[in-house]
Amino acid sequence: MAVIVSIHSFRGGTGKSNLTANLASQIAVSGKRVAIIDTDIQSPGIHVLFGLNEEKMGRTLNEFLRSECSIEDVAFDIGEHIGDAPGRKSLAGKAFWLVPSSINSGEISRILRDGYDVGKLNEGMNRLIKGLKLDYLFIDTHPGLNEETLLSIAISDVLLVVMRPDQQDFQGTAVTVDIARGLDVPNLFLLVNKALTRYDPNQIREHVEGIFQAPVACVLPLTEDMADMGSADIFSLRYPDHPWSKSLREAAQAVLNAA
Amino acid sequence: MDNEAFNTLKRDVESMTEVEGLTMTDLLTFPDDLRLLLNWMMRENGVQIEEMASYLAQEVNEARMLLEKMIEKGLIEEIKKKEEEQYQVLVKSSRNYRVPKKIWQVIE
Repeated sequence: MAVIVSIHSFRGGTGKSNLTANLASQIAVSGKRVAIIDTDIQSPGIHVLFGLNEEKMGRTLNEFLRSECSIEDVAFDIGEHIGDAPGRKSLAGKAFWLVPSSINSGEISRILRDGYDVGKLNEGMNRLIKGLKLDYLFIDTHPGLNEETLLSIAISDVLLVVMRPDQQDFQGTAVTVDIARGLDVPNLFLLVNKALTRYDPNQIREHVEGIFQAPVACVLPLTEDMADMGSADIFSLRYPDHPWSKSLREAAQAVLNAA
Repeated sequence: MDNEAFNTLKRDVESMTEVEGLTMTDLLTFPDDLRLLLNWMMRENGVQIEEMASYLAQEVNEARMLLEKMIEKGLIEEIKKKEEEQYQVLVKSSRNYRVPKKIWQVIE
């Protein structure tokens, strides 16, 4: 049975899509069958980390939600189309797929206007798991709480809540953690991103765990190297010895251990 | 689940108004045992009557009566999987954003 992993944050700009891409890539490289579904239909972006643009991505989740194709038709085979980026070369031949949301403005406005059946999204995820014989399905969610994100949280075996060491994030994360507990998520982790390097990550971990009474999967340092890459590649594959990548692998291990 | 908790669960289901499927926001407002049962069914993605009886620690007939009531209330549906009868949560929500028509006309 596949493990469903949702990556969520209460607020935008936490680095959620970047983390999802890196975590899923690490698990795909370890030999597991992995897919990512981009349910951030209002503001999709994870496809960029895999070198996709509107022309390259083909069919999208939007078309599946309008019943114009099957979910398997939308799954883009990353292992077969790694592109030129040095980090992504490690993904060659891996069983790794991305279900992208459309980046076309007309498509986005159409789905916002007409809405869609959240039940169909659920059905699509289940079909994807079976059709691709997945070990792991990662869900990149829209920040904040709405029907889709609540559904993602409700069906998840593992939930990673991403937060920055920032007062606004602390309050928002408290709301998300409360709701995740209400939805009985079996494995809940916090992931602290963009931590200032002048602070001790162990102290940050201890502080956050004390506040939320939930384990911190990793504390990732704020780094200009990541910003410099500008989502052009999978950072942890390109720079495996970087402190950020080492911390990220702790979170990947937590996900693997939780299964 | 002991008999007292099971009887409370049955009463909670019986007193519900009928819905056409479940929204996640509804789910969060349900009493604990009902919410946990539905959470479990969602995560299992379909359960058989025997699994439900085992989860509830009740006889199959008792579990079946509760299931029938939940179907009647529009919370779950019966499906066929590999020729077996299973039950799954009926997720509902077709939503859109309340944006004035004029704005849609501009962005389309």
